[in-house]
Amino acid sequence: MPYRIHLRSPTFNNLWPVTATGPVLRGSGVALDLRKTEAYGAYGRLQFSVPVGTVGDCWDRYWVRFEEMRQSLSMIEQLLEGIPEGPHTTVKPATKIRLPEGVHYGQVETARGILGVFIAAEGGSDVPYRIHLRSPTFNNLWPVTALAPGWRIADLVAILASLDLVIPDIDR
Amino acid sequence: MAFYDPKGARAGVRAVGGLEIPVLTAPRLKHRGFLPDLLNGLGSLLAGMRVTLATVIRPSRIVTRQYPENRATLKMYERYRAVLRLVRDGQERHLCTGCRGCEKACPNGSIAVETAKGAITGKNELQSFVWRFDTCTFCNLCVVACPFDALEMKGDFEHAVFDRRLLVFNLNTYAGPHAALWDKVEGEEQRARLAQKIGPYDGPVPLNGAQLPGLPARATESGGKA
Amino acid sequence: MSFLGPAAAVASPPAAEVHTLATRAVEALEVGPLEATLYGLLAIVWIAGLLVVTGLALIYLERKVAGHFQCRLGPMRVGPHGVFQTLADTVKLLVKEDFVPDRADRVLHVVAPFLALASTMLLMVIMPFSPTLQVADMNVGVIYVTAISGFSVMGILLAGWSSNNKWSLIGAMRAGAQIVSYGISATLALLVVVLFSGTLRLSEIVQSQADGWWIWRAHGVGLVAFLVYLVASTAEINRTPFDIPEGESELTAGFHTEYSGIRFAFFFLAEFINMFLVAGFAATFFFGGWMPFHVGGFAAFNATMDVVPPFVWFGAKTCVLIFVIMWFRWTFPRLRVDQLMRLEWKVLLPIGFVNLFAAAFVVLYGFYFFAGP
Repeated sequence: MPYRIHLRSPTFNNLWPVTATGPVLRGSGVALDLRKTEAYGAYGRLQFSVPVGTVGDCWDRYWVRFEEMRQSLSMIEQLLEGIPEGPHTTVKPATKIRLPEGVHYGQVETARGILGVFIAAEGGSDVPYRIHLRSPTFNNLWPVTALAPGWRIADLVAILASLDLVIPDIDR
Repeated sequence: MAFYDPKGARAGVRAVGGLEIPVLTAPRLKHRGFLPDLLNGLGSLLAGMRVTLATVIRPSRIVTRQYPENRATLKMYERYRAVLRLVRDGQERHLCTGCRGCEKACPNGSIAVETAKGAITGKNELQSFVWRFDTCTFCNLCVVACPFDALEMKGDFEHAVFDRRLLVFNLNTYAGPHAALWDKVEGEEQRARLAQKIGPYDGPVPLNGAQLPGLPARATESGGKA
Repeated sequence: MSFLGPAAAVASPPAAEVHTLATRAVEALEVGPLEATLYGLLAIVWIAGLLVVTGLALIYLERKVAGHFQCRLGPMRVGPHGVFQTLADTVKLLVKEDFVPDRADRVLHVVAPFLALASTMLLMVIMPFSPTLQVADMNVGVIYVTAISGFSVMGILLAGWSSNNKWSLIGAMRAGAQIVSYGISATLALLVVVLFSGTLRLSEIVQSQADGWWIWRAHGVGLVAFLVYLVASTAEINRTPFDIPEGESELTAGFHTEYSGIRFAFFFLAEFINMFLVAGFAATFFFGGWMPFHVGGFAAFNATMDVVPPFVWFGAKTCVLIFVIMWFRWTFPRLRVDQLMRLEWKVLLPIGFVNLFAAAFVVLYGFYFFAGP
């Protein structure tokens, strides 16, 4: 779920509440990382820290991303040490998947934030009734309205880059 | 701007929703006055210049290769993907059963597999494995999808041609059963008639229904029968 | 007590004879007008030849140095190790179509590259390459240098204006602001050396360094002045990190977007020769120009240093400084135009003023730690 943060810009004295996810969220000081809170996969068995910022400016988001890279490297090293002996399995991808009837939603923490996949299936066939991909960029787009006013156009480049938006990802 | 200390991150523990999460807080830059900031800035500039000077004096490696003078010693990387090939065993037989897993896996339809029922073996046999070199993206999905490991991507990259039609061709050199099936056939005479040699441009080479001018279209009856 | 303080009593070695081409031409006038004209032609040939040869060599060197800074090799194919690359590029540029954009100001568009090259050539005239290799030596040499350096902005402004292209105009306006601003800081830095050497004439400034170069003999003030001059002149010649007017990755090519062929080559050439000139002037003012490495008082050591001919000394110093300027290019990211202006007006200019004031103090009251002015 996207979390609410408050962002400040030079022309507004008030703090703007917006929703954000991923490094944008963590750059503003909220220590929310699905890899810790839901601990899916092997993340529960790994030791890593969640980098957070303080003020929520471009520097904090940039630093959060770099620190996440370092943490990922240490996670990879931990994983490499923990690979068990023996041959690796070669499970080929199945050509047909039978979907059970119902509504399914799963989410993971990606580099830009929380990516969720929603599937509604009628059951019986391998083609679902509806798929929706909830993209992190959609949530991270709105902070631009809070961050941009008061800065120069040249600063807008830095702001947009720090939000790490993939515009085609918005219209899923 | 004041000097940035990369180790200035402060470690701590936060409680979020009942969990204790170890966090690292971002370091903030501090402005300490005109002159200290200036000297720190100069120091960081010099540190950057030292890095680039080290690269000039002793580069970790020179990435330029003088091609084509170095062709005798040129060796591409082990997993470099430049061309698709069917894997052959020691007796020049392919391993493809014609399941079309690669055709389905290919994201832009650069593979077309033609099969027909073999007269001698009675099973589905590969007739032509058409691969479009011009649209292939070398994404390796076909190699991964093949359940029989019959495909591989090799690293020889010198395939430039002057005519685009030469870039769509058959990967298999014979129309016939795969290696395992071959061994099941009894009798020398039968084995001699199992496979029919085909050239790279034989058969229905155009893909996706498109007809490339100048290339002979396929005969209406399936070939490859004994 | 003389103006220069008690330390002025230290004897300096006899000055080397300086014969500029201009003085030779004047002397030759007594012989006849033909000889004087010949000296004039020799000067023109010298300047033009040096311009072309230095330009070609510098462009090739820039590409090689850039390559080695980036773990690659640079041009390798055209000639052994790519030495004929610039020649090939020049031939290519010569045969390109020379066009003026549709609704552009035709006269200005054609004239602008020549203005850029004119200031370069005018500065070549006064550069002291060696005691005998200087075309003219004015008694207001430093003022001449400052004035002509500021003149180079004309070519850029006219190029941007006459291109009938908004982004060229933006690049040209930025260049105008940048060059004019940084010219002030560069001048303040040069004035420090003028204070110490007591003269505006370039050949005398070089000779005043016979006991040691100003970079250390002018105490810390000289070092600060050199650093300010280096930064300011890198900005004056529009080199990275101050190459916003060209803005290669932002404004296509900035003020010279609408140029092609040989007139584009003139801008390119002007930039590289300006780099050579800036390095040459830094060598002249702070590193002794053609003066060998002397330490005041060690006559035997000085004699050994004199074995190397003066133009080799000048060339070596200039080459090192050119390498430093190229080093800047491949290390630092580009400054945004407001950061650039802030650097000049809020950082370099205050430092320059304080430095000049301190230098005046040192010279006036004779605070010398080691031998004399």
